[in-house]
Amino acid sequence: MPTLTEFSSFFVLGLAAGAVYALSGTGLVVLYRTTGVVNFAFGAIGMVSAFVTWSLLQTSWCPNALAYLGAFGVAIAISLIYGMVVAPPFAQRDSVTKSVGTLGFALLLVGIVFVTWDTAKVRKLDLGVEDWKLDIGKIRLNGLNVISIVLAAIVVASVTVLLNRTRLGTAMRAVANDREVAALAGIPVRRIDLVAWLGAGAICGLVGIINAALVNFDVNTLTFALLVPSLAAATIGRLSSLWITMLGGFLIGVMSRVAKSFSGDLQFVSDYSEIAPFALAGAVILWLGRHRTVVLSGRAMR
Amino acid sequence: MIYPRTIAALVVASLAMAACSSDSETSETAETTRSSAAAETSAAATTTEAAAAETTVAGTDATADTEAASATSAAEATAPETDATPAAAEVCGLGTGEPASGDPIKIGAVTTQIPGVDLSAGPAGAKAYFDCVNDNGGINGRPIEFIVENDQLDPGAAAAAGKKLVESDNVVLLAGGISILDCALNGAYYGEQGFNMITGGVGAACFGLPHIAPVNAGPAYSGQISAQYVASQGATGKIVFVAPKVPGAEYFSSAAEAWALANGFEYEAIYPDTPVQDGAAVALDAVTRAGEGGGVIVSGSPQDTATMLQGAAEQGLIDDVYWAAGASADDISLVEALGPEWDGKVAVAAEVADVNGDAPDIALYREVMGEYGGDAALGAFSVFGFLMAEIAVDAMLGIDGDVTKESANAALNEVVDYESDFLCKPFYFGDSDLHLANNSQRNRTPDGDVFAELTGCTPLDPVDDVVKAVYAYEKANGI
Repeated sequence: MPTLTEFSSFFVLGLAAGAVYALSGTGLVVLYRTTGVVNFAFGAIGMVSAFVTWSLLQTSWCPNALAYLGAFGVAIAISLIYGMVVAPPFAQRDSVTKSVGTLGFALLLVGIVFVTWDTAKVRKLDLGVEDWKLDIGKIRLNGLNVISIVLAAIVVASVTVLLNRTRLGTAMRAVANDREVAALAGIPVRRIDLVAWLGAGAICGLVGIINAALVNFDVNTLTFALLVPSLAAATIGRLSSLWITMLGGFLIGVMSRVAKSFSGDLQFVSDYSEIAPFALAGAVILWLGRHRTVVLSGRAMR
Repeated sequence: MIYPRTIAALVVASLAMAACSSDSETSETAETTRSSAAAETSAAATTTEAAAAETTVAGTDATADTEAASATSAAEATAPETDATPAAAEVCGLGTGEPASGDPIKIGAVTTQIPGVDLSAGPAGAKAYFDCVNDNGGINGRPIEFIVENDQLDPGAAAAAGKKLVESDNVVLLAGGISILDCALNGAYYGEQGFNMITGGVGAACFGLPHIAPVNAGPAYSGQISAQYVASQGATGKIVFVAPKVPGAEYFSSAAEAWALANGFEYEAIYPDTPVQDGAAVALDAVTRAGEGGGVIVSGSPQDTATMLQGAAEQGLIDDVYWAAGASADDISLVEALGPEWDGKVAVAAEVADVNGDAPDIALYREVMGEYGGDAALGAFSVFGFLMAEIAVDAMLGIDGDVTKESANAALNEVVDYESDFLCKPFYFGDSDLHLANNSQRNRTPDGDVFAELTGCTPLDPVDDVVKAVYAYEKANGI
């Protein structure tokens, strides 16, 4: 069994990783609730923005603040391009078809990055907060851990307020409930879709640069490795509840990291630490199935 | 509400910014690399009586360069250990300055290149040298056509790649590749087809077949060098080996394990997924297992190694254990990514000399890579490819008569006592049942923007059966 210190150290790391999963899951849920698209290109868009940010930071002419804004700009632009050009022809198709379209888009973005950047080069994205450290005994908390956790809470709270307390949010929820009825009621469905793609793009940019700094500045990790725990978090939130999605993200992060602290007779726990997202999501799906709740309907709104 | 014109303006501005940034990054990187190489060459010229400055890609005064090589080697802390004759002159092949023409000589290689596992710098180094040779008279007038296949870390694709090179492309020689799968899947086949292959060894099969000779030591034996180093620095108790999960990862850990257990250490290997998804968690796991004062050896791609070491730094774990990294971390971009907190704190096993060194062979490598290497990074992997190409070209230039599959492979088999400024000991092929000519390595550590030498050439302790057999062969043959 791990000591309390070891357990706590892994717990803190799990919270930071969980924050990234929570943010990603939030982006997935927001887009799905409005457009019915499970965005498999979520990680890829963030990955491109991380590479652009890194490149801007290498230049002498670009202030750091502009480089980080560039990440958001690029992620929003890519997301909007998809929302304006590719998504409309899929609008009347089923959710699975819409979602698979984003998978192809993710592969296209990966290809563009491979052509544009030397991906074998070792990169580090320094956000300037890593040097802030708080040591509690042997447990270390750094600025990046704290910012990730705080940002996850802020983003979820902001999106919740937007959806529940504003006219735009009401329109988005109306579109999510029934596009045709919303259109008949005079809601500009296409524009609402674009707002959802814009918001999802901004979250992609945020997750991309945090993930590159916190986890691994690697094409595969940023594009695909993030997808599984993020989708699992969104599934736990039944693709509708932002707060439960956030909780799911944190749970997955903590479970997968804390499991690594086991050794000796309990080494098998560490060996299977990567199954945490599947285990949690699977348990939730089974639980929901027991109560006959349709998970991927796109209608259930909380 | 958001309006289409606003959106369009945002899209255009962002894309323009992205395009500008990627372009500037590419050109700036290339420029930095080249100017750095030029500065090094210039510095070398000052300290070695203009020897390195005379080192040119096209033909130069070979005698003067050879003399300069001796002077340079004498000044180096990491001079080769043997009294073998100096390497070939520091020119590409014949060094005539005339382009080769006529019927090409086909040389084939297999590499592994997928996102996260990219060994293509090896064949890129080989191609740079072959291209330089082609601009300098080729192989007695004939150009080299270098064909590289990607095994994509897929056994089916690897087998197909080997078969294509041999049966469709009809290559005469196999040299310049670095692949995780090629030796294991195609090694026996190449032997049956009459090939002697010179390669960058990764898996066990590259070191255990009579007709395959690696120029490097591979992850397993550089892992042993790392184990020897952390022990020499005072590590006690347990050595933990971290090898990201790729085919053969258990083999990567095997030589370090054999050495650690034979020398009274506890030993444990852990295999995180690759690409490593949380460097801090993996580093914390390794340090927790090693315990205070233990040793942690990090193996894997440069990016994975950087991620784990960055994670260790974030968690304040640098001084808790003795750190070492396998030879794949011998990549200058790793130094830039790690930052000064790792200066002197991690020993990187180095199978070849520093690419920023002054010696003539190294200066030639930098110059060839600058002119023919395209975007390929300077580092250990492209040095492996460059060395393989040099050895293959020298072997073929020594052939009396036509260069055919039979004559080329016979010539490669006869290579012995091949010295290079990059190697601690001369390379040899010969008739050994297994090959590990690169059995003495250095250790380096980040120092500012470059690597600094921690130890000179350090021989592998004869613990592993392969090392014992190789030493016995070398003793019996006076190597």
